[in-house]
Amino acid sequence: MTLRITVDIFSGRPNPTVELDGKKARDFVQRAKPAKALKRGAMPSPEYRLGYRGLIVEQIRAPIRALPRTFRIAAGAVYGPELAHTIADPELEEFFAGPQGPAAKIKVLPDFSRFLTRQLRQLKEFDEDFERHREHWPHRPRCLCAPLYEPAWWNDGGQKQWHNNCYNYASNHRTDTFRLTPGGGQPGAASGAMYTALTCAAVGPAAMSDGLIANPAAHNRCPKEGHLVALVIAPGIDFHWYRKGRNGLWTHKPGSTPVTNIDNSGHLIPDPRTANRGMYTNFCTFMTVMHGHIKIA
Amino acid sequence: MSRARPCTASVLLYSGRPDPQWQVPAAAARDLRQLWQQLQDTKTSPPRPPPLGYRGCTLDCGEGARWFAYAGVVAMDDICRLDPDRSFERRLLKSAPPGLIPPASLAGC
Repeated sequence: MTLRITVDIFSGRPNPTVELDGKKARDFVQRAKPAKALKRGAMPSPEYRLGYRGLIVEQIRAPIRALPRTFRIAAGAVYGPELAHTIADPELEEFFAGPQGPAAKIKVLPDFSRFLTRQLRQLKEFDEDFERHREHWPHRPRCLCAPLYEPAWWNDGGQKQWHNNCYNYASNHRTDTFRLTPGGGQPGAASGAMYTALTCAAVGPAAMSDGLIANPAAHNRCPKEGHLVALVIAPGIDFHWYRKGRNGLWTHKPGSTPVTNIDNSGHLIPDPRTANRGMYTNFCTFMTVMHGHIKIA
Repeated sequence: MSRARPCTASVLLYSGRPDPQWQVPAAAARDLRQLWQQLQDTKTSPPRPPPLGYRGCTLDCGEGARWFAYAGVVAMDDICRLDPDRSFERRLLKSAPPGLIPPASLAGC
């Protein structure tokens, strides 16, 4: 038998492929055979993600009947027509990506094997957290003017992620200045009125000088125009901002780390006043961001 | 002979402000490299920290020598090693200039 295996990983470039014949191909399909049906709510075939999305396996000669002609293996599961099951060997992708596996022959990047191993790990983490972070559809937008939750856009592992902080994210204003320029991503710096203490009384007015509007009476309700943000303080240590999204839930971007929709207890955030905020114990106020009205250094 | 680049440490801590960074004295960096050699390999990656607050610390000595330490695991590139008493992490944090890291922010570390 012969298999053509495509590593579904790139977006712009063509995906790399390898072919397996004979015993190697037979071993591979044995290890890929379906074991148990996936539970309800488990991660569906991840072909919509950026990054590693699985191995597309085509049986191009002498196929076995236990598997379709073309199927996908991703995060230890097999997907195909009427197929969403765990596989006989959940370590199959690790073997494929490892130094002894077929991916070692792929030369599209220096050390593709290691790159793929890392990507595999990320998909497994995504799979493990899938149910917890799953959007439940259909849902009605609760805040029509609020920005979308687009973690993949911000979490690029590069310029956008590293050089924008919680203030950039909450105000939905990308400057790519955080950690790069003095005052980058700091409330008040753009208007020459940067905060001088890490208190609600200092950071709030600094943000207002950048164009944010105090809205203490918002009580977690969306404004008719613009979107709602919330300021919290770790007294004397740091400030932090959240933003309310279109689905009514809050999200945030802690410093240079990825955007997230969970709090320090791993829960979604219906109200930042009651979220687990770690050291950011002081809830200061809600504020409104009018789109296009603010400036950030 | 060219001099080795000084090692830089950073504690992943803040959200709004830039994280604290400092240059690690050469002797402390050498000690940390030696300690790394003594740690045992593990397949366990460092646990995922909570989004807000202390999220680990890094030591960057250039040319790909970059360590990340958090919660009893030290990682360099794809290699992870167990550090059950968090010696690497604590020694690295201890090398910070006094007053740079607010002690309250490291509660539980």
